[in-house]
Amino acid sequence: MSGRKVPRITNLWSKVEDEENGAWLSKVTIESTKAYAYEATSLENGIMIKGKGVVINMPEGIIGVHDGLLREVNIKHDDNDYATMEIIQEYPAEFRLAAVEGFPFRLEAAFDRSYLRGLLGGKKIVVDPGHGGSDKGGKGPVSLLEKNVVVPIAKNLEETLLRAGADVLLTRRTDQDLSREERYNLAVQAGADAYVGIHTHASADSSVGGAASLYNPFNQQSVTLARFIQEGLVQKIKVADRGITSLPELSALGEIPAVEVEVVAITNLVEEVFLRGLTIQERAAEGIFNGLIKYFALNGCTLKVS
Amino acid sequence: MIAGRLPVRTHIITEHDDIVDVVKKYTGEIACPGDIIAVAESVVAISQGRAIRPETVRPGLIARFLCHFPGKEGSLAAPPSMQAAMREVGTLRFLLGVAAAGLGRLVGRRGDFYRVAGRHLALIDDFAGTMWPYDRHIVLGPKDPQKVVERIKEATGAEAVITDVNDLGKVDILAATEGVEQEALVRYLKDNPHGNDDQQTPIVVLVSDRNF
Repeated sequence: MSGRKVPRITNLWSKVEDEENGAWLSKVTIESTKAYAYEATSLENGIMIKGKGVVINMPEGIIGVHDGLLREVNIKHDDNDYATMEIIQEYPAEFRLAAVEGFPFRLEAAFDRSYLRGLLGGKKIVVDPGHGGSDKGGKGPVSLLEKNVVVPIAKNLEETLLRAGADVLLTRRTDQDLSREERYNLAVQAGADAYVGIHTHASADSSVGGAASLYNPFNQQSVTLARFIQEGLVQKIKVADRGITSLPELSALGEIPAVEVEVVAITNLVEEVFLRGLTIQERAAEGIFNGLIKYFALNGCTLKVS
Repeated sequence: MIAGRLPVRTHIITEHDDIVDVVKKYTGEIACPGDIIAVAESVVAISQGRAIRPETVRPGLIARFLCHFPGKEGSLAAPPSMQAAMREVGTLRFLLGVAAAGLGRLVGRRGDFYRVAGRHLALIDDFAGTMWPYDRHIVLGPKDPQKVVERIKEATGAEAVITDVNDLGKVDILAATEGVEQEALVRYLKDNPHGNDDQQTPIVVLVSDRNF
């Protein structure tokens, strides 16, 4: 590699992966043109990898990860000209670092996500895709219907929560009529630890866009849950933050912490197109998941309604 | 022969960037003569100021009507993108394409719209089709792609291509310098090493075995 004498870091990315042995990992991969000497040390809230004699051939600074376990990676040159990669965790996790020879050379930092299973394991979470059947919900300026688009988001959320060991109850999987009362009864009968309704916003003004989270005014913890879900959602899907507000109807759920999420505004010209894509359907679920993790991390098991 | 590939992460490229300067900055110490630098078409277009805010496009009745037809996941699914496409080729040619597509459907043939209206319309990325913050823009196809690859070769010494790759494994080479073996290249780009969104690697260096 005549023109590549000095190793250069060219790319950095992260991914949540399932391993064949059942391990559930957050993996950060650092790619470079060739191998270099490195060492890893533990930080209070993460790890630092120091690379010697390697040039950073990509923008320095913070790259957000936000996968529930890892917050971000900060890549930069330090004063001694080492390339430093600080991987910041939200929660404790064991990690292993491996070098993968080849082109590009890869350093892989894999973090065990078991801690998240500890937070969500056994939690009863009701995921409720809004509307359905004859109730179409909001309609996009072209043709998209809210009742259809909320289902894949709910299913993605269900899948992620199940992977984290939660006990998930999805109120509907198909295009069926289901009254608000029936949905809430399911949550009450299940003794849910949390209820999450999935919706989109509808407005006569097609310029209105962004995400909002509506909470159960009867239950104070719902405010916290809404705040965390809203924060996770906006971070993941990068849309305008329409904030949190109370939704009196949710008080029928009594003491169950409950949030109705308006992922984006289906009546917004741009956001209708977003909703057609798989990316936002996955990202929205990830954002809500992150909010739930943060909520249960703060509140632990003390919220269970007796 | 290509022996390996290297996706290169960049800053967020905007209309204030010259794409040749960007390529030189990130590959200057990596790519050698004989290597191929592949650049994603969307960032070339963005650097040329071809990303349009939908608020600046006023869709007419035809655009509002026609945007129901491309299909749920297709591009041009919103009236402003349809209007931008019409503006790109002229209403008459666009409508001829629509007519050809209608007739094509009757005989079970696909692709007539782009054959008549212009293949470059297939390069238009609707909202959500490009990485943030351009996911709220309509991104047209790049202008003069052949000139761009020639300039990249001049600046770096490496061969250059502009590509349109999607996650379904479809690879289109919009322009390539003379020394590029396009067939081999397609094999290396099929799984979209440019990535999407978070990965932000609009440049990929395909390394020649001579340079290993």
